[in-house]
Amino acid sequence: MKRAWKIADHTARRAVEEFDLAAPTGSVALRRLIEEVTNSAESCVSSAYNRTYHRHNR
Amino acid sequence: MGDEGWRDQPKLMSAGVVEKVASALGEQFIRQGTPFSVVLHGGEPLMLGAKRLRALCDHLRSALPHPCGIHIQTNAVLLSEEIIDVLVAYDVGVSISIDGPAEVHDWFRKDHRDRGSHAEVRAGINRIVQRDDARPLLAGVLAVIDPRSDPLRVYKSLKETGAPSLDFLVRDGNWDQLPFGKVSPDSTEYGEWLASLVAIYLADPAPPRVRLLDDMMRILLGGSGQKEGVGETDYGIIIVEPDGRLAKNDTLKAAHPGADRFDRPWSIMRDSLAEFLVSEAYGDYYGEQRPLSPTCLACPDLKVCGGGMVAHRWRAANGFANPTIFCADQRLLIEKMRGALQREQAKAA
Repeated sequence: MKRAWKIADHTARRAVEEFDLAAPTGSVALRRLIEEVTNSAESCVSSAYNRTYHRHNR
Repeated sequence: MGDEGWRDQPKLMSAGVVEKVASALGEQFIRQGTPFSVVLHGGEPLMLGAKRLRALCDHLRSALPHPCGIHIQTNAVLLSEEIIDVLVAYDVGVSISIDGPAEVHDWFRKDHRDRGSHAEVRAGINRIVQRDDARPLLAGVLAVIDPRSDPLRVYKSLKETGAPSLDFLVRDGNWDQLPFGKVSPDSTEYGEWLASLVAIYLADPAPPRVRLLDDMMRILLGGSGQKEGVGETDYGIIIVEPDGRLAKNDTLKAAHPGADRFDRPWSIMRDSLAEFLVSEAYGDYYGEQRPLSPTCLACPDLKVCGGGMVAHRWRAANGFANPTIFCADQRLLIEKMRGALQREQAKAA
């Protein structure tokens, strides 16, 4: 069986929203995440934050 | 859990293998069009030394221009000014392994003379942070959790490094060999530790990124995950060993010796990467990251945890068709995370 996979094939599926993204929050970390999810699910793909790292715990 | 796979590998990747790896990856980039990242890891990749590292990065960057990423996961002990010059020259992102304050880090991370390495690691981080040209390369620090430690002390200590992002890993284990600090499959030491971290993170008025928590919360908020072992995103990870052998995700070694090997020994020196990527062997390996356990498939939290790391599902009696050994921790963490998110919104409403 032949399958055409790609390296780093990120086929993310969106989850069902469980929270009211329009509700205000005092948490900086949460506000940042809400902005990302609201504006674009892929908003930080190109940032250093999302670089793919391997584990290093052995 | 020890990794003995290095014993049958040369200490260094030869120049011939480096050239072949770079050309094969460059051809793959052209073929698939979408960018990907190469991560140098070990062992300790900086043991290459500045000269060999420069040659390696030169080949890789020539074959893989931006937006492809080149990154290194290091303990930073050998992060000299000369090495930093190389990383700057080839725009190599850096992630540094440090587990928290000295008393936490030095418990597990010791040098060959049995001395804790925390002071050397912090010195290495400082060298990169203090250079204007190198600071943007520091993508984050990566900590392995000691569930006996104080999450607040660990968080503060890692934040003080100046890294823009923190990430956390659980200690390896499986159903046959419990992870350090976990007294039974049903116990929740790691879940409780991470739940405390969630509270600390959400209350921080100037938080760095916390990749593991961000990924899980982003999924809970309706977004997608970007970290291996979280959510239902599939990842195509290939390991190239020093001799050019192609292997599965090296984390699988935590399941059992040889779990990262393909039945047929594929090699970048002999085989076409294009053929390998459409082979049944690669397709089967790629599919293995999806959870098989009926418990997982019926679980309402599967979209968040994704069944956890494949290696942590292992049990000799039935292979990988199990929930992660951290299932109880994951469920507790997700429950606490949901509660924390709801409280945050209620507080501000």
